[in-house]
Amino acid sequence: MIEIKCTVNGKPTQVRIEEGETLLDMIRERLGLTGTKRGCEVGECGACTVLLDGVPTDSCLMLAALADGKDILTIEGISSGRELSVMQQAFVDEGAIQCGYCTPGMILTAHALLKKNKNPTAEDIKRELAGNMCRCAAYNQIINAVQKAAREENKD
Amino acid sequence: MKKYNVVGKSVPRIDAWAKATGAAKYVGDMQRPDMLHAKILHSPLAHAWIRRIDVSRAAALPGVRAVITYMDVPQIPFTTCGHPYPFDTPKDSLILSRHLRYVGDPVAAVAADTQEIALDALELIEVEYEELPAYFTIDAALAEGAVELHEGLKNLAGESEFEIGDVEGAMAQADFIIEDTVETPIVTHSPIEPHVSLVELDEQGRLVCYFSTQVPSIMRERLAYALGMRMGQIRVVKGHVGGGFGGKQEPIFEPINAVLTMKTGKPVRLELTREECLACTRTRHSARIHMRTGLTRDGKMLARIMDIDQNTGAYSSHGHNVVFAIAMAFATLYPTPNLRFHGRSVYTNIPIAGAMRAYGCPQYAFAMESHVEHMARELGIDSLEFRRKNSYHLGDPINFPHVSVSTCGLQDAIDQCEEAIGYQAFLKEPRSDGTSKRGIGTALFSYGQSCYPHSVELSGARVRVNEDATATLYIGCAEIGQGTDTVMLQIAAEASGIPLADINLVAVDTDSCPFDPGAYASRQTYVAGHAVKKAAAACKEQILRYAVNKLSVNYERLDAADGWIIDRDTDQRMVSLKEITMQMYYDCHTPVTICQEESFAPTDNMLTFGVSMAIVKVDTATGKVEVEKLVTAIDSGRIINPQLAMGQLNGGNIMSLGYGLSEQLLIDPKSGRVLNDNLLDYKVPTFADVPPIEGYFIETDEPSSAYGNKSLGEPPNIAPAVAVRNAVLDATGVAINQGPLTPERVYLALKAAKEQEV
Repeated sequence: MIEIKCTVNGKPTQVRIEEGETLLDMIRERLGLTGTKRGCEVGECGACTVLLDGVPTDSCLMLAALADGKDILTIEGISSGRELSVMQQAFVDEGAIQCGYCTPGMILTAHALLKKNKNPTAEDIKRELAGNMCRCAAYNQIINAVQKAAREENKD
Repeated sequence: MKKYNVVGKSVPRIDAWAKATGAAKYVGDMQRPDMLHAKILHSPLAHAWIRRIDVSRAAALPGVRAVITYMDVPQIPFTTCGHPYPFDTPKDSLILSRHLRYVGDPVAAVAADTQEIALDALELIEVEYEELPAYFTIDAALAEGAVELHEGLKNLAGESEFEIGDVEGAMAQADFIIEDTVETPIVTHSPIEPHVSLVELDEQGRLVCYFSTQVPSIMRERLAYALGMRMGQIRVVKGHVGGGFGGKQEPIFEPINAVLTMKTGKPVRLELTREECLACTRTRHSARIHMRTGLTRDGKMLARIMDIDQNTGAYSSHGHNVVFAIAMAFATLYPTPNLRFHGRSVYTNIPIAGAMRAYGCPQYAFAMESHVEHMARELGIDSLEFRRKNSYHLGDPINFPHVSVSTCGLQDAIDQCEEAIGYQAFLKEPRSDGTSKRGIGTALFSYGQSCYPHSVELSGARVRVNEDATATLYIGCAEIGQGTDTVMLQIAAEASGIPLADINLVAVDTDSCPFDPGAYASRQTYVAGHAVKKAAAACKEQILRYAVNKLSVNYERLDAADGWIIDRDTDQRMVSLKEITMQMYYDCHTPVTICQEESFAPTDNMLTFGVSMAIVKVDTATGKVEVEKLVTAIDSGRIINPQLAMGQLNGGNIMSLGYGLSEQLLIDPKSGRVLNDNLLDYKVPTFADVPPIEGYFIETDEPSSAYGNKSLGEPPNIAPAVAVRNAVLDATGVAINQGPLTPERVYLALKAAKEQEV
């Protein structure tokens, strides 16, 4: 076992982990943050996406040890209390949530996109979110949600 | 059409907050302090007999709590298909068997302290196999002298036929006879949430099963049967389900988990890997469909023959029930007077085919709508006109028992699609630009409302109104992402007069919720919706009858809406529901509870109709097909929740594009092993593959349903694949009668066509 220090959803955190443990297992099994979903464990589906120093990352493909010193944002850190973030609210409003299993990864990837591109086109969104699969296929609703969130954020 | 208060509105999903914040707990998210992890050893051979198995080394590994083989489970033959109650499905399955029939069949299972230990233990199990002859195709399994996979069944899981009218006589009269054979691929459901279960024992020693399932009631019944237990000893709980699409409509390996739990006395989680989900859960049947149709010179179908062989894999699962569904679609969408149908479901040593979204109709439509296109082109009739002429119009005879049609928006749907996609204008546009060729294609579809009459149809619902006129709705039907919970609450609110926000939901816990077979056949809003309406209306009636005495008015004058009792004559609010319900509970001398349970069982089946049209661009140099636009119009009756409904339309359409263009589970013809058991090589549509989609609801008002609604979840998953196939034909002149239309297949078909010209 080794110990790493990182920031998880804004909170300085120390975690004892196995050397070979994935970041996904650390987040889900040790920190109990089960909003990060296990879909394929080989980086195909994007359900396990978290933001690592702001960059969307498949947590199933990364060793937890490599998160030492990093800033980790999971879906649980996106909103405060009952109040949804602008992106989460847009997903609700646009009907972009169905079974919900891909939703946390989608919202985090979309959140990161708006940080670097304030007015993404549909093509920008498709390219950026292409690593996140939605078998309910709410793709068009998700594109609408991201663009709605962009409009909302640009208003402020 | 009558106006409603809550029905017809895009109420947000009731689980939206939980799913948007990550708070929603799926089965794989549940933890128990002393939980064990299960892993399964799968057969490496397509057909084998376990000559010897030794688990002693695995069992001795520290941290291993149980190892089970066929010797440790009840050897009660059962069928995993729980609907209909299996009168006619072969009881061909065991929880663990000595006889292995496909690569992936479970050989043994381990429960251990960690997943890693469980995986290590699998490697220590010693098995000596006796290899048996294996068959991967229909023809090989049916060949003379083929070994039977299941004793006495001649490798047939089912066979059926019917004839209506005089097919031979009508064929003799026909001016044209058109013939086609079409083959469809094996595809998989691939929900992003893997198959997962957590099973534990409660204080009484009962099995408590947390399943990611579409069919909680059926899971309990099937589990009890396979384990030889009473149903009262088993409790199935369903929470959030991360997608099902038919793949979670029966027990897969959950009974193994139940045995491990009983053996260890501890909670056990069994979560399948993506590879296991793809290679050894369930698939959609591949099929070979032969069609022959006789027509008059002016394009009227006189007689149709369909012969279908589907590959059901190693066990029947839903097997031949899928053929029954195909037979219904065959007989109804094109009401031809003379029909002959023959279908067989064939056992082979490949992964098990079961139920998948639209239950046979995607296969049927891919074949039939290709065939219809062939007819129109052969006769030189515009393909929309040809379909208008031959497809169902209200009042046409229905050639199928227990199906009746009282609403049909099909012809309006065709008009709507024709306009929205710009059909007439497209016909005049230039089609060719270098190696790029464009085309337009159409496909019709129809679908039932439930499994009736093939299977019994029944849903229960209970509404309990609290002292302060808040309420709880108990249902047995299953939310799996499609929006059922929200829609049922809308119906309960509409029928009771209690605001939606004041109604809680319990769904599904087999200990407390009424019977309902679950999410399949697009049946829930039609069947369970009726039960919910009846139970909610019964509560309202109970409250209003009590109010009659208090208010001194006739019952007929009273109604309830939005938490108030309303005077029907004046539309004025008279008294809050809460004031009356509180009196009902606390009336010192004659107190009553307010709780009503109702059920609904349809005695007829209705049809949902629709059409999809696609414009494609084919790169003839590479074979790549790009869908430029897809339009679907559907008569699903009145829409209860437009936003959720559009989600089903979009999602079903895109899944069908995967069926048409990219998805196919590939089986190694030598070993029977699945070659592409991962999401890189098994290609479900991603953001990059999604074209602009327009959806239209042609709202009829179906009198037999709760609020004019008809089926919706599966029908949009039927037609786009073949609309695209027909558009490729329109673009290139080449008919490709095998799906999916991958670049490789299109390229080779175009090349072959060119060589034939020369």
